Amino acid sequence: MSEIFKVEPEEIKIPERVLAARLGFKGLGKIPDDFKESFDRAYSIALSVAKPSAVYETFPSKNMENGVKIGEMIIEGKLAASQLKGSKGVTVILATLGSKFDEKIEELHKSGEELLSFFLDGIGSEMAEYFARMLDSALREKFGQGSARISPGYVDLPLSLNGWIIDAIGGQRIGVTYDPQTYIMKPRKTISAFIGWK
Amino acid sequence: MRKRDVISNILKEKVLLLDGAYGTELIKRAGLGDVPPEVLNIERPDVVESLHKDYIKAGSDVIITNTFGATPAKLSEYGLEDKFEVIVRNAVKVAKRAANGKAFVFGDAGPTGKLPFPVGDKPFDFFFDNYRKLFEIMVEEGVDGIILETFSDVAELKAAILAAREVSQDIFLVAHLTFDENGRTLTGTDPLNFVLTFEDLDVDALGINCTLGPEELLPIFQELSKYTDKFLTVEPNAGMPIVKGKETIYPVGPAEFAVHIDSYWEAGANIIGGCCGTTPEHIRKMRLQLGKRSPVERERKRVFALSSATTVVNFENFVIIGERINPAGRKKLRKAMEEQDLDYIVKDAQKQKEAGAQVLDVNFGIEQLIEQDFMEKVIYSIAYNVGTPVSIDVQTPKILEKLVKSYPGRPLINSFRPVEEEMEKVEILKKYGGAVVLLSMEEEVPEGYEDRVKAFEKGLDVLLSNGIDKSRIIVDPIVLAMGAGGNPRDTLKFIEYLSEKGFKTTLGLSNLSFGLPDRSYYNASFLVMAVDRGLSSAIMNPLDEVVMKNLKSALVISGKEELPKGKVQEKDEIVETILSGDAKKLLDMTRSFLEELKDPLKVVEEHLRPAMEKIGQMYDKGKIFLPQLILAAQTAKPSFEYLESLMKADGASEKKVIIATVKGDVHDIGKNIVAAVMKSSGYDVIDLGKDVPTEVIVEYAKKEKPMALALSAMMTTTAPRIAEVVEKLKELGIAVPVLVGGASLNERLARELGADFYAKDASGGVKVLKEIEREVKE
Repeated sequence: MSEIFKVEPEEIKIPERVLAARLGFKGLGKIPDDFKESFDRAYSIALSVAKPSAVYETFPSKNMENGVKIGEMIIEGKLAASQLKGSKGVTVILATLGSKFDEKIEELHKSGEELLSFFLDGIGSEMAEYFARMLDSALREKFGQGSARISPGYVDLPLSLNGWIIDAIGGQRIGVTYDPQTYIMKPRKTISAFIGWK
Repeated sequence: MRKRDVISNILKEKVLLLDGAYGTELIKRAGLGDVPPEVLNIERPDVVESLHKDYIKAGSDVIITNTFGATPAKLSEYGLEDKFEVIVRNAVKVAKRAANGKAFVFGDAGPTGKLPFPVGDKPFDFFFDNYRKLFEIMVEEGVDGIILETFSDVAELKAAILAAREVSQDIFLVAHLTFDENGRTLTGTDPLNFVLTFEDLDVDALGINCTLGPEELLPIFQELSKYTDKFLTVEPNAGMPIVKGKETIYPVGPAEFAVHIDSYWEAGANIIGGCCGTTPEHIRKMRLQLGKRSPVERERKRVFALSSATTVVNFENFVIIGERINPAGRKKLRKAMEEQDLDYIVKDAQKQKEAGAQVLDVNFGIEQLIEQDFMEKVIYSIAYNVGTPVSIDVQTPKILEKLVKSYPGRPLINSFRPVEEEMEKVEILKKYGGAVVLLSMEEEVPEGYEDRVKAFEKGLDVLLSNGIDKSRIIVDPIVLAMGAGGNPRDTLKFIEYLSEKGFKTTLGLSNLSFGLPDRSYYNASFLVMAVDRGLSSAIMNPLDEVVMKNLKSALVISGKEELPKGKVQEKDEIVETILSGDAKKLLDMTRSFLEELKDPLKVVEEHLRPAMEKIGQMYDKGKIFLPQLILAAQTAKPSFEYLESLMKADGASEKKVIIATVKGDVHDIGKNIVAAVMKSSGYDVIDLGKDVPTEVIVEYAKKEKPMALALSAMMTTTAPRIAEVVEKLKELGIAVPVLVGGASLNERLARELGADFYAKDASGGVKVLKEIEREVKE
């Protein structure tokens, strides 16, 4: 049975450097003064619309000839082999900021506030990542040393795994769905991932 | 198997965890007072051993010896030089006892605290000797590796690396620099220069430690990881230190520190640890976070460049190599060399730099007449004080070895010919790094084009088979004196041949006109022709204005340099208003333009579009950031909409563009930016939104008859939808240029999917629209 993990958006700490780079201020290390006001506005909107919640479940795992078996799913490919091979169990994660976040980005775009919409989108991407890191860290405290956290869509881990993940651990519990043809998840600020335990 | 191979093999499979701080922890545990922590190796080895054990218990795969400040030079500052050997021996013994086979032991070495001439007063050999003595003991005691930490100067680090390798080919060798927040070391080296200087040396891993916390250090580490094939190591501090009275506090706690592990892993780290302020608890948290993971694959970006300690000169642009430090025909310079008048030579170098030379060739004439230590001082003074990289034009192998060995950066060795007596130079390149000028001649000067090709191919084969890759070779196509029968057309033909093959080229320009009158004109004319054929640099006289002015204009005409600043850079009030984000002021300006021109289209064409074009160019050249481009688009939008509303009455727009994110894709932030920038460049954009079915896109294209259809797809699973749209358009006979973009796409894939154009960003998208407009007009 999957478990739920929730935090308040204010608990998610994102380094300013990371945000500055994500928002296009590469090499500056901080948000420039000229854009501070817009950034602060976008960040406060982010805090008001984000509902960080995650669902996760740990499955038994074993090595197969053609990949790594997690529950009833066999994951093939280089990334899975390099990170998950030898794992006794694998925790499958879905972490989202919720649908209001997407709606607000859209609303700002439609009202011509392109800069705010862009800032909110970037903040959301990093907020989702750092929320996933919080869960990741909590799981490691519980289970001990694990593999790297790997996500569908990276290297050769197929996006189609999103479908299996959402169905297998009950993505609907936190409002996450996917497009059955493209396997893109909604809400957009959602991260799916695997961590193996050896 | 060598120890370094054992460790290298493990690193290919998993990321290793180093330990944390020694200095700050030992001070806490033993209250040192005025003695350095290394004293504990002989006075309180139990404290050192217990710290090692704590790190191993916390999960360290590698521990380092308590010898950061144990060079003879450093210990002598405390009057401990006579204890040097026992301090170092005990340090390794204690670490090995604590490790007990459960962790690797790396001998640690930090800087001596002295700096090389002319920043300090020490010669290269001072550093080399200090480190050799240290490493001899460490290797005798059986360390698995050596780690050089917190170095702030490339010359000192190079001395330490070469000393380590002289002592042992067996141990794993790690070399670190420490950078400030601006990404520079104390003596001015940046991460790219770090790689250029050490990538060719026999060192196993490059890395960064100290000075910065994990957050501040990350972008510098990411920069480093772009350019190197070597293993990467990193040890951030537990934040930037805060001094409170007598206490120094490191603010980043264990959990916060460990959060950054993922970012370092993603950036390619192979060994991760902690520097000042980190504790066994930091390492325990890092162990949990790191777990057992294999390293990410990296792809190295290759750069053809030379460097001094402070400056990297990239050969992507034409490079002027100043030829004047050569006593041939310069009596005063010869005298200065013989009398060791360093000031004279440095002033001469400075003059060439001010005239536009980016690299300086240094030739000492009859080398036996000049003191070798003085030669080193000349090279160091240019590399540190003048700041330009040096082309070492020295022919005696022993002298060349001394100068290349100690050179602070990546030098150019001028030159190599594929003949027996020059093979020692290949060994120097292999051992000490650097780039080389490959002459396209053997024993005799080449008679024609074919001779040059033959000699070049032979030389290239020698260099490549000795592991000197193409990014270290610059070819001299040989220009001979016309007065002595040389045919410059052979050289030009050969330059063309080499450019087509992707080789960098340089030549001694002044040879051409030797013995002729009007030398500057011959040199200038030839150089212009050579630039046109792809010559990448020339060893020339930067003080010759005729040649320099002709070169500059040739570079502009060939598109290799921008037009000189002047009128182009005049203050543009519309651009400034748009960039300021003041939409109301811009609208007022627009209204006043309209009053003057009476035609909304003219206002767009003469004022707003050119301003947005300039802003687009500023973005392309990295002069403004993406948010500034978005803000500009947002600011210009109301003015465009106002003018558009006046124009609509005149009939259908010819600048209509339909934009959409394809079916299944909900990522539309990129599409939104493109739409906003297109609108603010005067295009009539119909934004269909995201997740738009193919039928809807096609229907709109049919109904609206746009000048272009722009489609966005971010994910690999949605990109095929583009092909679906293109097919459907063809099926229905709708002729509209299709422009695509998105994270999963590139030029090749776009073509495969049937698109007519690909744009990587909003500014590129606008350029494509202009191209379409031009094609339609033609």
